[in-house]
Amino acid sequence: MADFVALTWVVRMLEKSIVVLGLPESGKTTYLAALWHLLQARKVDSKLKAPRLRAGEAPHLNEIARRWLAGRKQERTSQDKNRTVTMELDSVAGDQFVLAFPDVAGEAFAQIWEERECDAEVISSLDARGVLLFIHATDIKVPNWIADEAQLSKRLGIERAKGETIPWEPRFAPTQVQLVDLLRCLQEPPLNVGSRRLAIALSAWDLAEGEMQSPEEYLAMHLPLLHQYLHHGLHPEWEMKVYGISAQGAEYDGDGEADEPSAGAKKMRDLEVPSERINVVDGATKSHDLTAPLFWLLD
Amino acid sequence: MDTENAAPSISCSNPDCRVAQDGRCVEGVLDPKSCSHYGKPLVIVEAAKFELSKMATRPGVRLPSAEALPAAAAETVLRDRPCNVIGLIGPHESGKTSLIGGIYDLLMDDPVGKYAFAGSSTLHAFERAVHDSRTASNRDDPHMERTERGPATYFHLDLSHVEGRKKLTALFANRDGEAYMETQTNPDLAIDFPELRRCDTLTVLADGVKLLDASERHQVLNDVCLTIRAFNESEQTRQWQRLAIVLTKIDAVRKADDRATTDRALRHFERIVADVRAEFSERFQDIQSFQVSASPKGGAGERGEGMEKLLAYWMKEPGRFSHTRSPPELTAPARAYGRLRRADMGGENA
Repeated sequence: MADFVALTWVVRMLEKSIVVLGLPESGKTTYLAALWHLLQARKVDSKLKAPRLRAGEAPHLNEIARRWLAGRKQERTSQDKNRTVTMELDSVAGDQFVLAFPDVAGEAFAQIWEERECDAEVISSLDARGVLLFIHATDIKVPNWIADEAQLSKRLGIERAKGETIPWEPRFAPTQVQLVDLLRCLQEPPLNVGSRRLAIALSAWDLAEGEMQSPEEYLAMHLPLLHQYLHHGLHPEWEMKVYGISAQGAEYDGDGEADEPSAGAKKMRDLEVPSERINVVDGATKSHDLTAPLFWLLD
Repeated sequence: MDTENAAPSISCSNPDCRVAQDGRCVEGVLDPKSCSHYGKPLVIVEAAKFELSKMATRPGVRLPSAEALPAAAAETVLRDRPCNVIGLIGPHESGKTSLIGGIYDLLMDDPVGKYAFAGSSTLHAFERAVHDSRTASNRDDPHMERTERGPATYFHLDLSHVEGRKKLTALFANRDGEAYMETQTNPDLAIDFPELRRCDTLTVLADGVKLLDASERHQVLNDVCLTIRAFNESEQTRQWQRLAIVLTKIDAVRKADDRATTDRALRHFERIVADVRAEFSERFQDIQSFQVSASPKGGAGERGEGMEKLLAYWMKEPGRFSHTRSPPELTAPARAYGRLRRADMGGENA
């Protein structure tokens, strides 16, 4: 089931809030783990800081941060593990606020595209003015056409594989179509709350960096329908920014005993300052500050 | 109540039987006493325990639909914003849905000409329409589902001019082709097709595959001309409308067995266009012809060939907004006094 798994964050400060959305394994939990480590370790500059260790669901935060430090993959958020994580934060300007993360299972978000329904508990978190939308930079379901494939097969002189016809289901829709629809729903009743700020986080940016493009250019090339919609379809009162985020830094070790240790993970573990694994790209600017998108959303 | 004088109660083990009240056996046994359930105590069966977790439905909130719009919803869109309505006319399998899906599929990659994608409230309908032309369907060749009989529904696309950023809406009316073809025998049927009166561009399709077939090509001419004539006869077209005559499946025409067959099909299409112009040029603001290949089969051509030009035509400023010059209708006043003209203005009132 092509379900949305959403880790929903709500930041409440000066009546501002943030909701975090994304497809399964789009990097939300890794982001949260890296963010918690970065805030606790205080080794790199950041626009937001955590003055206290106190946090809601602190054991969970510490567990995922521990996995992140060890260079191990995060477990997928499952439906029976709904929880709300909260943390106290200070901005550089001295504003204090509480960051809350109602961590919602993906099936609830699958309803939005597939069943045209949204759970009441999810609705309450979607009234946030700031939206952080995660998209895995290299795990994108793209549409493929029979006509294009047939033409390619003809040129290469190979025969196309044949099989049983598969009827349409909403889950077959390309990633960009599902995301466009999600954004459209956020602009229509009952989810419309007026103007919002939208930060697109292209996660696993280290895998996309080789294309030598800015996050915005990468989005235009790999998700062109979404890119057109962001520039021409979003309500004029919405503001939008695209970030490339590498919270993990490299391919991590798997959980299985038979899994070979990852060379990338070893390299990451060898770094003296783990927070330096993190890279956040905003246009031409590069930093280790994972709080930058949150800060922009709250500004 | 005197219980001592009361009749002895009759019991039956069948809970549906009312023999105690009306003396009749529910099983239909004439002598109830001979029924195997008669006189036996009622069997009390413990009710099955409901599993609340299975019964309970999650309290969900309905979100906007993503299916094709019914007429009422399309009317709301029309009132809400600048909108171009496109009517697509042609027999079954002439490629109506392919044209609609073809534009949507091209937008997946890039803006189409000067138009960028700016949204849609019918994404499920679009995705369903194009599914059989995608590899996810596992089909050998692109295919389009037959449009079900019934009222027209509308596919909705918001488009934005890439330079001026002016937002426009396109509504594509989708109705089964046979309904339109039936107007050839009964033009009054067209009165029930409101999309004909409302559309800014009437798009009539000529099936390229049929033009290749010597036994069918003349029928294509008939279908095009007679259908437009039926719409005119029933007064369902408007002079401010544009008419697009579209040769679909140009890829198949080019892929014909020999060059002569291809040329004959193309010449026949030109004849269709010429006939339409000769007969209907006074009835429409403009008539243009197009050759497209929305979803070529067998690797015979580029997907979306000719669609950019067609979209630009569809999205032109609607003719209903353009000024029209009406000749003044001067009627002579009924009374002689009213017909008097001043002498200095040429009146000869002698």
